[in-house]
Amino acid sequence: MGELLLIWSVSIILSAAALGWMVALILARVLRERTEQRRERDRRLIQQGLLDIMNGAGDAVGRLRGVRHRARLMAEALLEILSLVRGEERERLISALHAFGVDEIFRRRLSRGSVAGRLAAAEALAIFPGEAAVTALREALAHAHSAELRVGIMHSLIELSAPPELDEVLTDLAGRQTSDSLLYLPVIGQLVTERPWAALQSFGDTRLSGEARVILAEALGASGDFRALRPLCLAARAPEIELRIAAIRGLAALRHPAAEATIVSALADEVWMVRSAACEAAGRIGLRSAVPALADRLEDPVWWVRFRAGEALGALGDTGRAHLRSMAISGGDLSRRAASLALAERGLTVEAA
Amino acid sequence: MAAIASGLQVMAEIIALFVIGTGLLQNGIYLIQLGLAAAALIQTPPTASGGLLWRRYADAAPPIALLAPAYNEALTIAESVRSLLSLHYPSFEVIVINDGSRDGTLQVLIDTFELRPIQRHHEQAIAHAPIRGVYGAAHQPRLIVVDKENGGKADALNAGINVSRAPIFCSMDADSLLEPDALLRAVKPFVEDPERTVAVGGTVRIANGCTISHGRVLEVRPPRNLLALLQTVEYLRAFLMARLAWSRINALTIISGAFGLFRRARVIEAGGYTHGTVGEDMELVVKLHRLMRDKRLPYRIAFVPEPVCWTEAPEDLRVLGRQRARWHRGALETFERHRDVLLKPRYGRVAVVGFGYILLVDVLGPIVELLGYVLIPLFWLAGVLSTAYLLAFLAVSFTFGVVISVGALALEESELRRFPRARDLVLLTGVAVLENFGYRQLNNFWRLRGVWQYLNRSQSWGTMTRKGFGGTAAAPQSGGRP
Repeated sequence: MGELLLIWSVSIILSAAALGWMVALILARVLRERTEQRRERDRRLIQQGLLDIMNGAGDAVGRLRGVRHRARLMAEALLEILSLVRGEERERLISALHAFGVDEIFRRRLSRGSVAGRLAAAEALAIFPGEAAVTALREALAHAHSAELRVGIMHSLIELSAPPELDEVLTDLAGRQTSDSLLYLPVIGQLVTERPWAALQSFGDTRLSGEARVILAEALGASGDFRALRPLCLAARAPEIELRIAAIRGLAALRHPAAEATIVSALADEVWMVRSAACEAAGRIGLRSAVPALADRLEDPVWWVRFRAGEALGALGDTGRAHLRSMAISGGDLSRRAASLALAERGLTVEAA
Repeated sequence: MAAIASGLQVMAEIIALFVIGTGLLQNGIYLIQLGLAAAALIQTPPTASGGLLWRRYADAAPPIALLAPAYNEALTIAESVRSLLSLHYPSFEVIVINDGSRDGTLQVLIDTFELRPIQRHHEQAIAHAPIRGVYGAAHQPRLIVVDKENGGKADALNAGINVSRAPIFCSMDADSLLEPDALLRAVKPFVEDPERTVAVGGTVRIANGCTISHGRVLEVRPPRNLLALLQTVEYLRAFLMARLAWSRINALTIISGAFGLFRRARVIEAGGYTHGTVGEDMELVVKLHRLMRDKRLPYRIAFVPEPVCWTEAPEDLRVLGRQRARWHRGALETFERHRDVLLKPRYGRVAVVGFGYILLVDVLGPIVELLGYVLIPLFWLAGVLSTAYLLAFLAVSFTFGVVISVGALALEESELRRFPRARDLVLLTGVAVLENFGYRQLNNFWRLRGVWQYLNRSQSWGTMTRKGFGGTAAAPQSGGRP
């Protein structure tokens, strides 16, 4: 009888728990519905207020007084509107909100509440230039744990012309579990473009992690600073495959013809991803001297290399197309097909090419 | 005679204990799933609006190829494709694969999007039925249509994988509806952990009852049909609880065919989708686990709890029964093909948790439950089981089921709240209780039919007649599993 009682007790407890749980959730929902309605009403009020400020309507700022404590809502509405507006209206809105003390509310929100709210506040602070915003963001960065929040803060600091040190960002990246997070790429790209010399120094630092070097290689190429040419050419011969690929991509972005020898040599790399990247680079830089090597790659055993070689030859003007035509007629099985398809994708026939 | 009676008594007790033990084990696992899913939801709260997602992820978002296989969808294909083309994502292409449709699907596409034949250099990395032609749209550079001979959904997806050039592809059903920012939400794991992430599943929700216009869900409402309502709670349990929980410990063995993102190179390495199975979606995920574990590479198969895809649930018992039998057959086929995973220590959690779960819930579950429903009342009628105990265990079994369903609803309510009205929640709570009395047993019957079809090696997909989101009757479909 004791066992039976226990089983029934479990059953009754489970039923009561399920019932209690749902009643609590429904009650919470009823209360939340009211909160949501208020939130929605406030969101509309904020949006209308921001639009009125831009249109220069009367006491538009005053109408925001009742909702100025809604930092996240305000930040999100502001970011959405500012992604659509430029020029005088934007400036009018920012200066009115600054005068109203909205930036101060965002600064306070940086260290309080949910990560989503902090992130919105950090992003919105980027539109309020000044030492106060920079100091608050730096302080928040020192305490933030979430990668998304850290990257958001770094973005804002860059927009406020107070970028974090590149080394600091690279150290941060190395300390992350997802160390090669793409989230950091745009931030690092911006920092490298602004301070290519510092990036070059970091790139040459032997203590730098492999992942960081890979990211820097591409970012250096995208920076357009030709001082990166030599280090990238050296990196294109590194033993690490990922670094070789990134360096070739960097050289492609740099578009300097002096990378020719490196690119042509990479076309014969033992790793197909490097050969594929080299084909793309040859096409982007416009290396006519690479045409014979690219034509050889039309016979590559890997489809991607053949495809990229065909694309590159197609991009290399009359010389490249003449080679494509010649390969389409007299090449081996693979190169004939690769060359004809490359011509066809450009709307060219073998004869007309 | 007394010895026979005593033997029968012992046998009855053993069977009863086995049935009860298996049931309790299943419920115990569900409770663990509930806890894991709650932890996952709390730690990764849903992201803000589409505009902010774009701001945060657009720069880092990798290109995606959306693969939409279509078979006899002339009535709905134009609107579906328009809706796909208007998704919010910085770099994507839509590849519609006309899998040898016998109606005018291809012609509708040609007429609507002014398609013309193009040459497209593509890899022959995975086998599939021959491609008859590739078409490009005059005014939609993002749209590619592949016309091929019929070979089934897996075959069509393999053709799409070959033709695509983006590093990530999204497999989906052409008639599913995607949230405008579905790709931005689902791509997050690829952005945050690009080296390790090989696949991402997304939550599929039931669109019956919702207000839909131009391929978009405008207002979320619970279905008006009881069967669809029951499936709504079932989908919440499957996605918000089971999938999220197993993805948290990297033991997820299924990503719905209705929506999933995959790293193209890894899928090609794994051999693409398997032909000749009705559970190709589950099979692919298991193959990816095996590939990465065999290579001893760190990897992650992630899951996004926020709803990204909406599908139409069957509102007819026969159609639903066929769908469930087919899903179950697919799970059994996958288990059979990869049964050695269960015994190899190198497969770690995938073996113990993922495959152990399939063994317990999919392979043994329906049979044990049937044994319970048939033998235990028989033993009771024969007087070898105590009525008091029988009722007590039945009560525990049902209340456990209710707690689990209510738990899934609670997860939805505490973190996502996609049903806007409190009365919807009351309705779904009622359904969460109701489903344990009849629907659960019916489901088990369908699963048993799946076991029977599996044993008979039936490869039939059956037909899945949908009403269509626009209210027009759509052609037979395969229907993606939750």
